[in-house]
Amino acid sequence: MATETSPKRTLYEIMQKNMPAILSEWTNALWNAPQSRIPEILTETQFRQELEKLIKAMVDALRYEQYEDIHQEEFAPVVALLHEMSEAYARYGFRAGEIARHIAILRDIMQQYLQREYGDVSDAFGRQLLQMNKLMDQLSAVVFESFIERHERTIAEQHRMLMTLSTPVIRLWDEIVLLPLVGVIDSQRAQQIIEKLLEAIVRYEARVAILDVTGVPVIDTWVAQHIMKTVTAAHMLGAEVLITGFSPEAAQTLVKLDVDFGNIITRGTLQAGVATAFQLIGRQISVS
Amino acid sequence: MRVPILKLGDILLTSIQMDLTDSDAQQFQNDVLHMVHEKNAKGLIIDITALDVVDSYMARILNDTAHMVRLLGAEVVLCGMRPAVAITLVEMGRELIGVDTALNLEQGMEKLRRRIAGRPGAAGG
Amino acid sequence: MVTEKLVRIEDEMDIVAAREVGREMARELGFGLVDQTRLATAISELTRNVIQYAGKGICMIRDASDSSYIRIQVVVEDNGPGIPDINKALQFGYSTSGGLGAGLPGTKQLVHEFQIVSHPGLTRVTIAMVRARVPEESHIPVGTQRA
Repeated sequence: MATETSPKRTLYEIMQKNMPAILSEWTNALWNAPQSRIPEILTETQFRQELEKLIKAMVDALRYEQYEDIHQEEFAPVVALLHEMSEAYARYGFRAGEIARHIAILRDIMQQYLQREYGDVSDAFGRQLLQMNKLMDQLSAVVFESFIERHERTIAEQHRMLMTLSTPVIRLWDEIVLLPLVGVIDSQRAQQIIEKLLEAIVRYEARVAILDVTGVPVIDTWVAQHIMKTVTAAHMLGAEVLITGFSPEAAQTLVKLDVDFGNIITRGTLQAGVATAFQLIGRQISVS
Repeated sequence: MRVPILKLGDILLTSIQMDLTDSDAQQFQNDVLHMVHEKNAKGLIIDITALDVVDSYMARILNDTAHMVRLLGAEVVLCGMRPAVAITLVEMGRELIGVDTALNLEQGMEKLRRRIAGRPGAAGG
Repeated sequence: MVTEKLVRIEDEMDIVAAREVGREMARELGFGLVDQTRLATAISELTRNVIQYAGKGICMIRDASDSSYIRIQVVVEDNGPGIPDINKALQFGYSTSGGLGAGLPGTKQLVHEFQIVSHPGLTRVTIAMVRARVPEESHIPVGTQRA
């Protein structure tokens, strides 16, 4: 800390002494900020109360005059409050920038207070400013992390739901099952695809499985290898596999990449695939 | 523990109920080959419905046995592989190569009969 | 509910015992049928190697879950001659007819975590199947199993 004999106050002391004023300024600035959506979800009184909780927690934490690391215990209540606020705002569809603005405006306010206390030019001012910025940067980071984490959770949840909906195996006929693949195949889905197909082969006692890849946008080496694994596994359950729907681009890519397709049966269209499937089980489809 | 082998006309049927030790596996292979030879069997079905794990060792036994039986002139179908086992074998890179498979005993018999009937000179018996 | 089980590997019957213990613990920890089979198969491969190359060894199966992940870990260890060239042994295509370390690359493909230490006198393979805790499970304390 500064060893000058000047009676300048630290950030902590300034905040503590001026808390009501800072709180008012903070609340007003945010409430009246351009395009602020806070009035949509809180009354001004409620909002002020939320900010009051936060600023009190900050002042409490800063009592130890440690500004370097907000992961220390004394900042735990502050971090928890920020997470809570982020969570609440996110639920209302607010964007990360909106709550980060809370910190940005507080930073501006505190900078002004520091300026008044220290005057524009002095080492001590510089030091306090630096510390203040370090603190605010970390608080901003907490806010952003909170948002990102929430997004990742939402995406994971949606992904799970999508997967359960997106791998339907259709019983086309006695002994023939059809699995239309649509969309991007990642490794989790790839797993699901094999399992669903084999389960269907067992359940319907299918002898032929048609795998239609028309709806798969990108078929690269990885996807091709995965398709081959699926085919091989189905073969081991005694089923014949037909692949339909490779695009000309996919065909070029796959051969150029030297992917080994062994002796799989392919057909250009689902229609042709279905006709072949019926032939394989010993029936003909008549065209009317 | 000897694996029983049943005879149904000109087809042999054997069902592996549990994991085979080294000596069991050897015994199994010998028994199958000798019986195919003695009974002049035209086909063999190996049923592995009861196996919930097939590791690389067991996969090799099954593979080798099937190929050996083919060399004796009989058709072979392996039936009843469980989905989880099929997936595991593929992932390990130990999928059975060149062995006919069927979902269950019923489809296995059908497949075997078709193979046997489709052989050159089959009509003559 | 136990969170750790030791199976002595001394003869071929122990291979089956070890993999059944593994399968059961995986089932209790909520792993699906295919994952259970993968683990049981991996244990089968590793313990068979123990019998074949070292004569005997041990197989330790434990619940090594933490707050984010449910993890079943298996350690297979023996005091045999060791694998001469581990890097080679871990490549696909090496020793397809079965030499020291046979089956390792395949085993590696089945599990989520794989570590091996091997020199004359000690071979230890540590594998694990891992899955993320789903929200319903986050209350379950670390290191215990579901009923």
